[in-house]
Order: sequence, then structure tokens, then C-alpha cells
Amino acid sequence: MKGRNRFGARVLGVLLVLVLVAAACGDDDDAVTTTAAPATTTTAAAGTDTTEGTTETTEGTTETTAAVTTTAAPAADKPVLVFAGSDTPNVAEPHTFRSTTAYMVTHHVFEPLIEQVPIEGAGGKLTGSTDHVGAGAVSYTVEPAGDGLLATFSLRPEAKFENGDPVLASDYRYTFQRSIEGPGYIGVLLPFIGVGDASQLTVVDDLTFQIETTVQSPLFERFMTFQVFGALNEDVVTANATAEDPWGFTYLNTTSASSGPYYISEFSPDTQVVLDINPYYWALDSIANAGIVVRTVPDATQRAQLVRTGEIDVATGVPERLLPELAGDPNVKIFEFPTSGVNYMAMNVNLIPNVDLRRAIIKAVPYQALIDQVMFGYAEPAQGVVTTPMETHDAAIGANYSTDLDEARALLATSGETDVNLVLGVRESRLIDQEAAVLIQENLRQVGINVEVQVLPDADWAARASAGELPMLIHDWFSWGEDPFYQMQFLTQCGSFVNYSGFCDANYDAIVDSGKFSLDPAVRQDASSQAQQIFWDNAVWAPMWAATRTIVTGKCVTGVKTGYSLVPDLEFATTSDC
Amino acid sequence: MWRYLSKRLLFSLVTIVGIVVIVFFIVRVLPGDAAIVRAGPYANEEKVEQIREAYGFSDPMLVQFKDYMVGVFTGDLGVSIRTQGDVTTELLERLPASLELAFYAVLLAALIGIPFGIVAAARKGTWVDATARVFAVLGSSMALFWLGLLLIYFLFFRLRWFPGPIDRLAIGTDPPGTITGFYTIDAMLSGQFGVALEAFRYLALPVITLGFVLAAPILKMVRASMIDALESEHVRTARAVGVPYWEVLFRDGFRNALLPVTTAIGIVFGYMLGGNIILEVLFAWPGVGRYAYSAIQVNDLEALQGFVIVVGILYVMLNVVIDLIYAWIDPRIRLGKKVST
Repeated sequence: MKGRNRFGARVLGVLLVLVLVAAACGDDDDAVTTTAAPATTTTAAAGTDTTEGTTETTEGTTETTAAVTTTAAPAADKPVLVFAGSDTPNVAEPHTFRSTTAYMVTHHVFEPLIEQVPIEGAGGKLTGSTDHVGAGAVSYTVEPAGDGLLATFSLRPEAKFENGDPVLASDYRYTFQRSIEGPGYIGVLLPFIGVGDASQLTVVDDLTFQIETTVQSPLFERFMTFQVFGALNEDVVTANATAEDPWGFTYLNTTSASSGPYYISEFSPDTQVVLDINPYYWALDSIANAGIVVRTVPDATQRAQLVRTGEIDVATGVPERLLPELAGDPNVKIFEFPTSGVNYMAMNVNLIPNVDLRRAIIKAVPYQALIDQVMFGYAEPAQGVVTTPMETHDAAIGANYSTDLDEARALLATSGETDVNLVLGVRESRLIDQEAAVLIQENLRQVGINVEVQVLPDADWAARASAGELPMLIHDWFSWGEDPFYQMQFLTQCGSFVNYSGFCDANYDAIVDSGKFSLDPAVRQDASSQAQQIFWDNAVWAPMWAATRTIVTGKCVTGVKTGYSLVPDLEFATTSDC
Repeated sequence: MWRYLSKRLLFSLVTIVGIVVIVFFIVRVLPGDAAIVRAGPYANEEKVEQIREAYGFSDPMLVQFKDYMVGVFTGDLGVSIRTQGDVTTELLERLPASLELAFYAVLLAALIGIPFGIVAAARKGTWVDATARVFAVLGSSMALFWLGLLLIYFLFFRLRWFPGPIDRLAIGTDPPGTITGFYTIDAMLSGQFGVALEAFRYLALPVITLGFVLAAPILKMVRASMIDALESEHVRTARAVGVPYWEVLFRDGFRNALLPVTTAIGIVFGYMLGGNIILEVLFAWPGVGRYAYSAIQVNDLEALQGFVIVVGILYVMLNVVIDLIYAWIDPRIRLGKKVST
């Protein structure tokens, strides 16, 4: 009896030890954040009031004033929206390259000087147009000045940061200066609009800010709508800067100093980000919801199912293969935004120097099958580096990018190449690229070209692509601002960081440069067509498709907007309408 | 006992140092360049080089190793290139979520595996035994993610019996104040029984998935050990002299089977600490496994090696605890000699 009691006590002891060991491994104080979903903070009144933005053009000067839009739902009825993306919002710092979902977060937090006028579509879809109105600026003018442009922005006197500080011209100057001189990547983009030095930024008075450019870029106004130029609170950021981090990057990694409609009240990468309404925002009435909770659901199928069951309101990154089934679900709505972005298979011209072989490959790619079987119809033919939906696309040249296996065989014979074995590198995270690679591999096999598809970890793929080690690779690109010359510069000009084909042609570069800084549509069209012809002649890419961006929501969601960046803008989104 | 404990701790320390050194070099030979991913597609070589400099990737390997070792032994696992956050802090924030999941999964696996294994051994050759073996084969052969997908589809999406795979608590529910880091326990300790119930509901599907799969090895181990014990001479003698069946079963059979069972549970728990990546991704569980998954995707070396080190240390500590339990259960082990019976 005594032995049995001792044995029982030991078993109990073992269990107790296991419980204690497990429990003791918990962190004491700072392990779990304690903030939850946002509380409704808005006090907007009911009613609808829409005043059209006005655009007035006088000789060489464009003056635009803001549109003011308010929506119907009173504050108490406004819902908190739940958003889930395909990746984790990693940092909130606006001048750092970050995850797709992180861009979605910062889009709602920083107010740029101007914004796109939305066009309302069916089902509550809002698409940014190419017309612009003031956002942080109540009005603005852009006029020629020498070789460049002089833009004058009259700031909104009622605009305030999340702490109640007024948004001043000095804050915008600081933001631009930080983007030029700070360690982020934005400074690389600014030469595209002829801004490369802080001396080009002028604070005229507290509410007047000027930018003088060195070139007349047609992209200038589009750039001014980008979230990365949204106002930062200079006082707050500089107060949190250090000698090692003079631009306060560390501080802004997890907080906002917001000038936009929302501020970050919780930032827990891998768990959730909570966007509460900025109580000092100048257009509180226009915000259609009471806040946004951003959750990360890495598995795309689960993300879609959570939308179907109503646990998530808005989801992005839902694979195209799931869309046909979702389209038939009465609880789900799919917002479609055609884009000019390009998904393409690049051929490294240094590793595959035979142009006839490259053209044979281009002719063997099953373009329509890719759109039908990989994208399930949610794409348009790309037909070139300047894709079909993009301005200055040349349809006559684009038509060359078609499937013709007989012609491919003939070109292969002309090339004189036999026993062709090539590697096609695709990223591990991109299932559609892998599916496309398999279809391409099969078609190329039919014409006598053997392809080994290598699925590589993303970082390995990036390193090998940058080093020019992959003979063929699949990549995708979307140019903020949707400008053809911007797209050509990054993807195809000599020395560009993402010119993975190694294609380099001085004449081509000169033509692209000539269109880049011209405001004349005819000059731009001519330059673009010439560039597209050279690009086809050199047979550098097989442009596969221009994807349609889809945002999957619950059936009651309206007001989902995107613009030049394709980032989902949920400021006007609500679930109150059904 | 103290001598035994000191010896075990010394061996553990050597093992941990070995893990730390090996992890450094393994992570360094992984293909890819984290700086390129971090810089993004708009960057130029100058920006990429700035990032390499900032994170010390350009330093000679020996300098990197020295910095790394100094960091590890002062509790500094570096800065994540993905989140720009402190890796030690980020891992400690996520560890309780993984441990809570592992704890309940092992508990469920033990609650299924041990009784089922005992009954199967006691009724060897009957339909009960056959059922247990079928269960063990199913559990061993079923892929974790497949079972998880099935459970999510039927129990969440179709039947709505459980909440969706979105996190540890519903959106809008405040987590309880941190005491142990286990939401279920902390909520109960702070009297928030509604939150505790919700935490259990969100734990249910991943725990059932893991518990089912992990119960199989425990069941097999218990069954085999029990059969060995029950067929031993001393048990036969005990039965012959009239000791009641249930007393023989638990005092002689289960007691003797306890050592291998402890090993099985220890191995399963250790496996859980590092092997949860797929499940945490599937259930959007904010633990260290998902952290490692995100790190792998962008070659976040500091985060990745931090994860491996933390899991390695936990595994070694777990083994020490198991050894101590062994020594406690069986004095022959701590005395280092065979006790004559």
C-alpha cells in the first residue's frame, strides 16, 4: 500500500513538473501586447455631401482645388473593417522598402499633397482616375519654370497630425528632404521627376510649399499622390531621432506620426496591426468606417474561407485558382482592377546570346493558355514591356508576341542550336509562376527545347537573378504611376537593378530617355513605339500577361478603392450598406 | 542527485555551445542575399551595400562569428532584417503562443495515447487492440497539414463548430494580462473565464490536429512497453500469488512502462517546439514557427538563427528535465549502478 501511494505521488509530481515547466517558459511582462481592436472614435454626422473638385487651366498653369466627399453612415453605425493580406506588415516606416501589407498600412496613415479623383464603378468599386485634387493641399498649381516645373501647394489650414499639431509646409519639406537624404529607397525614384536636392524644396510660409524640378516630367503630379510623400510630423520624428539614426527610421518602424485618416494604435508584426481613426483628420466625415484591423493569414485558402464566413471583410492575395469558386459564392464580392503591370519570362541575353533561339522561345510560349489556366481569365495579354492596358502600347508590335509552334520550330532550326537545355528559375512563394513555368516547359519541349524548372527560395532567386546567373526567369512588376517610360527604365535600361535579362542597348536607352521627360503625347508615343520595336527585335522577353488585381470582400463591402499604386484604400469602405 | 544534476547541466552547456556554433555556419551557407530582398527592386547596388554594411554582412566571417557569439551569450540575438526589431524580444513575444499550443497538444496526445495503449496491451489480440493499432497507423501516416486542412474545412467552414484559423483570440478581444504567457491560464488566473473559454476555442482545432497525430507514437510506446512488462516473470509471479489484476496492471505493468513513455512524451514535446511551422502557418498561429517561416522567405538570417538557437536550448533543457524525471522515477539511473533486486 505504501509503495502504491509513493508511486501515485510520483506520477502526480511528474505531471505537476511538466505543467510548471511549460508555464514558467512564458515571458513575464512584455510578452503579449494588450491592445485589442480599435474603439470607434469618430463623431461624424449623418448625411451625404459631395462637391466636385474643380480644375482650372490657364496658359501653362493648372490650378486644382480639392473635392470633398462625405458618406452617409453616422459614426455610431460605422463598422471596424478586418483586412487580411498575403504577408505580414513588417515595418511602418514609409521610406523603407516593405511588405505588400505594410504598404497598405502606411497608405492609410500618411497624407500626400494631392490624390486621384475616384471614379465610382459597379458594386461600390472606386478607381483612381488620372485627374487629381488636393489632399494635404487645398489647392495647387504646376507651371513650367525654365527646363523644369514649379509646383506651388497651398496647404489645408485645418489639417492636423494625430497629436493635434498642424500640418505645415515645413513638415512636407522635411518629408521630401528625408526621402532624398535618408537611408530609404525613395531617393532613387525622385530623379524621375527632376528632384534630387533639398534646395529644390521651398517653404514659402506655414501653409505654402513649393517644389522646383529640373525636368518637365509628365509623372510629376502622379508622384505627388504617392503615399511615400505623405507628411511626416517633423517635430515628432526629429525628437525621436538619434545620432545613429538621424532620420528616426527606428521610431517610425512601429508607429505613425500620422497625417492621414488613420493612425497606428497597435503594430505587432505577425499578429495584428490596428488602425484607429486620426481624431484630428481634416475630413473625418468622409471616413466610412470606424477603423481597420489588419491580420495576417499566411495560407491563401484559409484567407478566402475566412472571407466566405464573414470573419474577414477584405482580403488580398487570393490566388486566381480560387476565384471562380468564390465568384459563385453569394457571400463574397470580387473587386477587379485591371492593371498595366507585367508578368514576364525574361531571357538572359548573355547566357542565351542567339536571338533566333530567343525568338523561338517567345513563339513557343502558350500565352492564352497561361491566361486561361494559370490566371483563370483574371489577366489581359501583356504583349510587350509596355503592356496592352498601358498608354503608348503599340498593338502592331505587341501582336508579335503570339504562340506559333511551327514558327518556333523554324526559328530554332534557323538558330542552328541543337540539344538546347535551359534553366528557368521561379520563386518558391509564387505558385502562379511555377504553374506558368510548367506550361511553358511543356510547349518548349514540343519544339525541341528542354527546360529545367528550378523552384528557388525567394532570396536565392533574387541573388541569382541580380547576378545574371539564371538563363530564364519569371518575374512580375507593377509601376506606381503606370508610366511606360518608368517601366522601361527599371526593367530594361542598361544597368538597372531589376534588368534581369542583361539587355543593354545605348540607342534604346536614349529613346526611352527622350520620352521620359517629354510632356508632348506625340513625342512620347513615337519614342515608346520605337523602344517597343527594338525590344521585340532583340527578343528579350516573353511577356506573359498583365494581371487583373483582385480584392475579395464580404458581400456587404462597398467603397474599396485603388489607384496608381494598386494598394487597397479602405478609407471609404464600409459594410453598412446591406 | 546533485552530482548527477551537475553532470547533466555540464553536458547540456557543451551541447548548447555546439548548437550555437553549428547554427552560425549552417545559416551562413544558405543560398540567397537578404540585403537584396531588403533593399527592394528600386534599389541600386549602393543601397544594397549600405544594408550589407549596416547588418555586418560585409564583415569577414570571423568578425561576424565573434560578434555573434558575444551577442548570443549576452542575450542579444541581433536585429531582424525583416521587421527591424530585436530578435530576442520578438522570439520571446511569440514563444508563449507556441508553448501553449505544444503543451495542450501533448496533453491531449497523452490523454489519448496512454489509456488507449494500456487498454490495448491489457486486451492484446482483441478488437480493442486492433482498433488501437489502426489508430496508431492512421496517426503516424497522416500528414499534419492534411489533417489540419480537413478539420478546418469540416469543423470550421462547413459546421462552424470552431472559430476560423485567424489567431489566438477573436478580433476585438483583449488578451489577458501576461502571467505565464498562456492565454488560457492567464485568463483563468485573472478571472476572465470568458476569455479563457475563447482561447480554448481558438486552440481547439490546432490542438486536435496535433494531438491526433502525436497520440500515435505515445500509444505505440505505451502498448509495447506494457506488453513487455505484463509478460515479464515478476508480473506472472504476482498474478500467480493472487495479486489483483488491476493492481498488477498499474503497479507493475504501467510503472515499469513509465520510463519509455516519459521518453516518448519528451521527444514529442521537443518535436513540437521546432516542428510546428506548417501548423502555425496553416492556423495563422502567431508563434515562433510562423516567425521562422517568414524569416526563411526573406533570408532573415538573424531571426532564423535566433529561432534555431532558442528551440535548441529549449530542447536541451527539456532533455535535462526528462533525465531528472528518469532519475527520480528510477534510482538506478542517478546512482549510476545496477540495484540488485
